[in-house]
Amino acid sequence: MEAVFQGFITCEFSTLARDGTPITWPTMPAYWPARNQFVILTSAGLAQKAVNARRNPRVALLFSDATGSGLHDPPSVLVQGDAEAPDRLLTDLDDLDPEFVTAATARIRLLLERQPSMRLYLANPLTRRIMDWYFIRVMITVTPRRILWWPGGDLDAVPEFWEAEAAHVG
Amino acid sequence: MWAEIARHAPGFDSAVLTGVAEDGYPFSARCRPEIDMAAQVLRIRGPLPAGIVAGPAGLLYHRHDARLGGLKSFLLRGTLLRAGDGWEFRPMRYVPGVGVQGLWGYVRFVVDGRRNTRRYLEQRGWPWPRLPLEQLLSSLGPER
Repeated sequence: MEAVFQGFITCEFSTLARDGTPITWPTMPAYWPARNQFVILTSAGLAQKAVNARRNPRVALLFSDATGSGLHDPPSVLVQGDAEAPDRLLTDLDDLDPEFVTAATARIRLLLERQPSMRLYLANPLTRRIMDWYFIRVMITVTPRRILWWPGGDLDAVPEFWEAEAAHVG
Repeated sequence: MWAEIARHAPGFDSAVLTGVAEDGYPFSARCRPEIDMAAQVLRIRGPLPAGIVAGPAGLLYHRHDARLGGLKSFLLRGTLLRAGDGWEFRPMRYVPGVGVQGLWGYVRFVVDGRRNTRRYLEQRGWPWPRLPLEQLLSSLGPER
């Protein structure tokens, strides 16, 4: 399971809008194994998912697109969990738990290796000026409540599952 | 809305359907919707996990390549209904993501992003922060 969490580039992250409609967008989460949590750093300019999570913390992450992961025939994995999205900005790396900085830095390095244009945005003063808003980030932490996975992505099959309270594998 | 769906949806092999499970958590699964223009619905054949129930739902189309390039996405908000042995999704709103509006879409992404950020900060009485981007770059080490 951890290979999916670490290897997939994106997941589909769902929050609930005020009217209860699920809103799903592709997101690049970082898995924080030491805490068994997922962390999403969303731009303040795209912060509706954080606003939704504050109003209703029930969220889900689906790992169903293995493109670029290097994994062969991975399972589809659905994580349903409880989100926390403190109303503050992450503007200083010193704000963050050093353990998380290590995990997040590895994730960002992976992104920059795959998307060299992002490093150009950061290095070029003009694009940095135009895109600075994109790097103003709000943190969302997701603690899994339940994890379901379908080996080989076969939705016909009964999923395997793990639940936080029972903490067992079915 | 249907013009955009007809234009963009066929370019995707599959989509992610998200409903709300009985316990109130979102529940997502990848599926292969088929457009039924006459009935103005997207039909979903094949299995859906038991956790998905009829009600408010979303259908996300997205893709990227192995280098996270070629991003393309859009979201449909609507309702999921039982239809015989299968399901149908009745969209009510088309929400463009990235890569579906051409150059204008990228300009709008930047302009809207900056405006939304300013609004987010103003609502909280926060100043525009100074970002440690140099620190971030140096912490990442040299380009490889």
